[in-house]
Amino acid sequence: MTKILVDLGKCQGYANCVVAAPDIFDLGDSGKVDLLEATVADDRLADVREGVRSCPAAALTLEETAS
Amino acid sequence: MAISLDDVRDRYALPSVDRLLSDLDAGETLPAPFYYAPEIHQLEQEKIFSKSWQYACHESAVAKPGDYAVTRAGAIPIIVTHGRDGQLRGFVNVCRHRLHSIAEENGNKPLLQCPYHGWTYGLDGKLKTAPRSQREPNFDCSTISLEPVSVERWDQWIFVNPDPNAAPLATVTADIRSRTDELNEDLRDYEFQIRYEYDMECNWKLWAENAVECYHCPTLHSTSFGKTYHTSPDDYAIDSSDNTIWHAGPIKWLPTNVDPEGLKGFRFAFTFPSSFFALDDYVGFIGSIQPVGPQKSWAFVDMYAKPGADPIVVKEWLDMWDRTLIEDKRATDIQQIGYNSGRVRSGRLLLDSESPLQSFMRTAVTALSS
Repeated sequence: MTKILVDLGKCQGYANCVVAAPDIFDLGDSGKVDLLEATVADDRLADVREGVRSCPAAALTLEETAS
Repeated sequence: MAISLDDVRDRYALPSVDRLLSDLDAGETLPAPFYYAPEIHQLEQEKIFSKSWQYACHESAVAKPGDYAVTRAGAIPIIVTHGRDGQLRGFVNVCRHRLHSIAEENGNKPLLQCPYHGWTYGLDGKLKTAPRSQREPNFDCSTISLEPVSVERWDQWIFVNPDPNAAPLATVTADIRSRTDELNEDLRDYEFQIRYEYDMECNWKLWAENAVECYHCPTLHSTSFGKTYHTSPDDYAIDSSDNTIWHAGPIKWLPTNVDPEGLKGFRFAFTFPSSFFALDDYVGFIGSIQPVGPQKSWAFVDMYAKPGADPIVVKEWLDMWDRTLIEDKRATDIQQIGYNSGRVRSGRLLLDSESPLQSFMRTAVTALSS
């Protein structure tokens, strides 16, 4: 199972993650990322990885855990 | 605002507005400089296209929350959004940062991120984030949003007006609604087929003037539209007012084995300055003519057909319209040469057959002198 971890201190509100996977990431009123889903379904992994990779502030990481 | 019609008058020896209007009443067209002067092109952007209702998109392009569609109104790029709250809104499609577009194509997103530097707006146009703006001492996202424009539905069509305080489209087009209510109801279930595009080497008004009269149909379109529909003055009805023009004509050439009973013929509705939609017995269309330069214009015509219609007949009808529109383009490109020649100052209308041209030219001059 894959979990998304967010470092709000680093988040700058670029919204590249929202562009990559708008069903997983949103931008809250605070101007920082809002996670719509904390764990990633297999069929969404590719887009989520792209969202994580494309964050210019490196605020997102993925954690593999035993399901 | 740099110039007015008065400023342009001296340069091109134009008569006063009163004189232009009384000449029009007598059947004289607007003088040639209206169709080639760069100053007129500029004035039209400011006085006409910046404050008139123009076709944006079919309602399906913005049917669900997150949908957005991009279009142009004159030189102004526009984006129409369907908000999370279900409301349709329109904005100038220009980022408040360094004026890049927010989007270049239609799509669906919960937020609108400018692809240049990442400034991100809600579907309501409000700036939510500007990356690194926390490092700026005097930057407050909540005070920044996209410039709003007016948006209104006309049945299944979405129209926009760059003026956020524009009079409602329903008011401006009230006189034609009883006819277009029925036309759009008949057209509602039709499915998009193809977009025809035409690049003209002529002023946009020449193409628009061609579109709103059918005096040319029996000759220019003798093997296309003029062969398919009756276009003689006793059969073909035209009706015009300040902002709208209506055409209606019965079918002449029937496909094999078709019973003419119940066929409604060709119906066409034009809204000043540049948008039109129509329905004949097999296909419908919506489109607009747009100025590109003083002597260049571009038109698109989106063709629709009834689901379940005979595909062979639909193809014939679509081809007939493409041929008709190519014939129009050839004619208007050639007219531009005549206008540029400087030797024939204006034209002479046949008021019985070309009354829509009087309306169109009158509305144009009135807008330019406002």
